[in-house]
This record gives sequence, C-alpha cells and structure tokens, in this order.
Amino acid sequence: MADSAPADSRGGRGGFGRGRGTRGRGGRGRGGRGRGRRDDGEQAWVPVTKLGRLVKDGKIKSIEQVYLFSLPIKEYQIVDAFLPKLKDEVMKITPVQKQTRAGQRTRFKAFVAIGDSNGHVGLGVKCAKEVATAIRGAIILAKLSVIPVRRGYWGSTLGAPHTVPAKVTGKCGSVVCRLVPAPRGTGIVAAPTPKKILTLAGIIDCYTTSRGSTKTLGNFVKAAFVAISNTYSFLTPDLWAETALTKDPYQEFTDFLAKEAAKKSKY
Amino acid sequence: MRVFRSQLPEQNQIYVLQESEDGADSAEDEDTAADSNVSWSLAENVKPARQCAVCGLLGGKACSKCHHRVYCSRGHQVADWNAGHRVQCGQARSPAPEAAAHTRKLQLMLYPEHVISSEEDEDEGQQDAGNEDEESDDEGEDNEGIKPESMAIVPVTDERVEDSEVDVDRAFLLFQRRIQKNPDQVIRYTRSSDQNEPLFVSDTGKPEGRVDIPDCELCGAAREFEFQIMPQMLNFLSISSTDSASVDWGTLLVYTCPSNCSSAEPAATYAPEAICRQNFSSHGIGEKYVRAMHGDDS
Repeated sequence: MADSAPADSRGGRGGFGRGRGTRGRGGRGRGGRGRGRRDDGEQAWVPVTKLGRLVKDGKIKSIEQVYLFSLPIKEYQIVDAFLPKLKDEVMKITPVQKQTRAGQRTRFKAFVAIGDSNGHVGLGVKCAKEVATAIRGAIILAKLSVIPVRRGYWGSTLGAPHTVPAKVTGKCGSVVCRLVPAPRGTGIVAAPTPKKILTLAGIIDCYTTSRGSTKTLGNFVKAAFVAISNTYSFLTPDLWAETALTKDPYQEFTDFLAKEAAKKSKY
Repeated sequence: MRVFRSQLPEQNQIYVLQESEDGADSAEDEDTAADSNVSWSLAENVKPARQCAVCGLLGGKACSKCHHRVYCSRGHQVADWNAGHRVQCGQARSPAPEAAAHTRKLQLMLYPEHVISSEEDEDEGQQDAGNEDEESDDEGEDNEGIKPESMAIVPVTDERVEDSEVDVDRAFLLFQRRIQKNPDQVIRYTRSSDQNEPLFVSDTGKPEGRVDIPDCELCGAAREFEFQIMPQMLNFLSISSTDSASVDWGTLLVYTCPSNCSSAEPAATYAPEAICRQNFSSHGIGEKYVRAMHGDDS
C-alpha cells in the first residue's frame, strides 16, 4: 500500500476532486496509520466473544465470577484482563528432532509456567520451528490453562493460608509428585523444577516427594501441575456444608451471568 | 435471517460516469487518477426515490400535515415526530441547535456509521516467515539466559512431543491466530473462487452442501462463498452486551450466486442469497475449574 501515503499528502491540491468517490482511499490511509502498534509490540485486543466484550468493558469484576457460572473462556486476553500480574517463567527450551527424507528437522520445545503467586497458575508447552515462536505460543497456552490453587493450613488457622490443604499427588508418565502440608516457615522443600511452579502458585510452605524418571522435565512439571490442580478437587470436612447460590439482584451483570447459568441448567 | 443482493453493472441506465477536468495533476500516479477523478451522478431522466427521514429506506408514507418528510413505516414516523418534527412541522426552517439535536436523536436510533477500509490479507506462509525473522532478533536480547541446550536429541522414551492440551477447541485457536494480524477486521471478502474457504470459528456448525446452502433460485447454479462478517463487528455496533437477548454470532457466512444473475423483469432488483450463521462452541477454560470444584478428577 505504498501509494496510500502520498495520496493523502496531496489532499490539498486534489481537494475538489475528492468527493464521494475517494472516501474509500482516504479511509484506507487512515486505517493503515491508525492501526499502529503499541509500545509493547502488540495490537489492542478486539474481543470476539460476548464474554470478551463484557470483560473489555469492565462489567465483570473477577475470574471467579465467571467460573462460578461455568462460562467458557475462549480468549486468553480475558485471563490477562483479570490477572494482570501474571509472571511467566520459561523453564526449559529443548531442541527436538525428527528424521525426514531430507535430513533432520529440528524444532524447539518451550516449557513456560505462569502464575501470579496468589492462587493462579498455568503451564504451557509448545513446539515450534523458532525459539521465539515457541515461547510466545507456550505463554498463550499457559494462559489458557490457568487453574486456581486452593491453599490451607498445616496446624492452627491463624493468618493467611500458606500451604496445601491436604496431601495431594499428581502423576504424568512415570513421574509421581506428591505435595505434603508443611508448618509455617518451612519454605518449599522441592527440586528446582516443582519449586518454581509452587512459588508461582502462591504456596509458601510445602514438602514434596517425587518418584520416577524426574529427569524428563516435561513429565515432572506436568505431574507437579496436576498435583496442584488436585487441591480443589479434594473434599475436606470444611466443604461438607451445602452452600446456597447467592445472587445480588441489584447488579445487572450478575443477572446476565445468572441467566446464562439458568440457560445451561435447562439441558 | 435473510440477505439480499442488489447490484448494477457498470454500464447502466441510472448512473453515468463523469470525468472531472483534473487530468493534468494526476499524471504522476495513474492509479490515483483513475480513482480520485471519477464521480458518478444520476442520469437526466431518472428521478430518485424519496427516502425515509430516519433510516434511508424507501419512503412510502408522507407526513400528513406538511407532506415534506416521508417515512418507511409508522414506527419511524412516530419516532421522528417525538424526536423533534412535532415542533417544526409546517414551519419553513427550524433554528440550528434544535435541528442538530433532532438529527442526533435520530442517529441514536440507528447503528453508528463507520468507514470500512479494505486491505489484502497477506498469505499466511510468507507472512510468518517475514515476521519471525524480525522478532526473533528482538526476543534474543530478552532471553539471553535461555539458550537451547546443546544439540542433543531428546530421547523419545517417556516424553510426548506434542504441545500441551488446552480446553479451548483447536479451530478457535487457529481462528484467533489468523485474525491476530489484523484484530479489528470486520469483514473477510474473497475475490477469487479458488480461495473460497471461509475462516470457521469452530469445528461444529459448519454449513453443509446443498442442505444449508441452497442453489440459486433464479439460475440454479450452486452458490459459492463470497464474504463473511466477523464477530468484531459487534464491538462497533454499540450493542448492549449484557442483554442476553441481544444479537450475537460467531461468524455470518454469505454465499452468493457465482454468475451474479438477476431476474428478467427490470423492476426486480433484489435477489435473495444464502446466509449461514456459525456460533462459537462451548469449549473453553473454566470447565476444568468447575469440574475440579465439584470433585470430578477427570
């Protein structure tokens, strides 16, 4: 579109000739310039789903509200909007080769863990021809796999929760990773790999035990991730009481979410 | 949901082409010359139809008092009356601020107007190669500590080579990747018939053959995909998102007759075409959370 810029600059001279017929060209130039990239190299997010539009307008306050009514999140920018303090950590980049007729084809596999150190963690694995693409893709997959972490107490329920609520375990391949509650001040007693994920999850104290071929980082980190995600599926006595669904009738947006839940429950 | 096509060939009896006298200035760029000096005007013996004062459609009914303003329906007549015609019906000219307020109120009833600029969608393969070269240089500075480990082949014993699985369906991820280059695109138009695969937003709900896309009623040819309306359009139409009855779609696919036929009588200028709607699937993150909260370990 090299000709759109000079065409605009000659607007003064061709002024009276620019009537209805030239609106399209002016628009094209405007669109090209206005669509510039922001400083962080990304373009502004234009939401595609209805939930995305609501989130972009700021109508929904927290991600838990969305989960409560089981609305599917399809765009990773929604996770970004709810959890702006997500930190990503590239755990490893390995080259992976495949034998083809024309020699070997090398791709790079990136492991990225993401978390806000306050109850949300995600893990993404992406294989791509270039390192930067793999990292970018892994970050997006990590955001799309963000899971909440339930934290509890080791002994007295004094202060904020600091450890896993119960002994949980996760398995991937041959690696089994077990997380055990620990008293305050212990810190995370783990190998470097699960330690990174547990820190990103916001778990402050934890004992861990692992078994199997922990050298395979892919399986090790997935096992730790599965163990963390099991914290919310563990039924502890304090969850025995039945909770009533509350709905604030004065918030029209909670209303919308409730209508969606009602629609779903009709299936 | 219906869609109609109305088109005129370039040589027609209603509009005539008028070249302007600006030929000397545009010697530099022939392309610009052809576009910026062309203008169309109505032929002499053509009388334009009267347009509804609110929406611009054919105005069949006139205001019974002054017979100046015409409307397409009773609803628009009532709306215009309340918006300001009640005061100035019968008067010659109304004062400027009230006229401006009147037009503003009328505009609020319609969707906002925007300009659509059209650009070509770059070919995926070339674009990827070009971008990646630039960006890997930038990323190299950020990730100096991260270098791929020595070129040892990863043993393929336990490890699976695929990417991690997410709950979001694959078709949507591909769709998002494709629109990432131009996130504010609202219409995707295909000009050639060998590129007429629409960009689907999910695996389910794709229109199938003759059932969803009937053949053209006038000439019997099988309809082909022409353009699709993207969901980003809903951002620009200022529709209330919180109303659960408001319109929402994944994408609207318009299939048209490839020979652009029109019926024989000159009066019939609208030809019906086929439109299909594809909604987003219900896959997405959050389902795992809900399952985890309810104790399902799968």
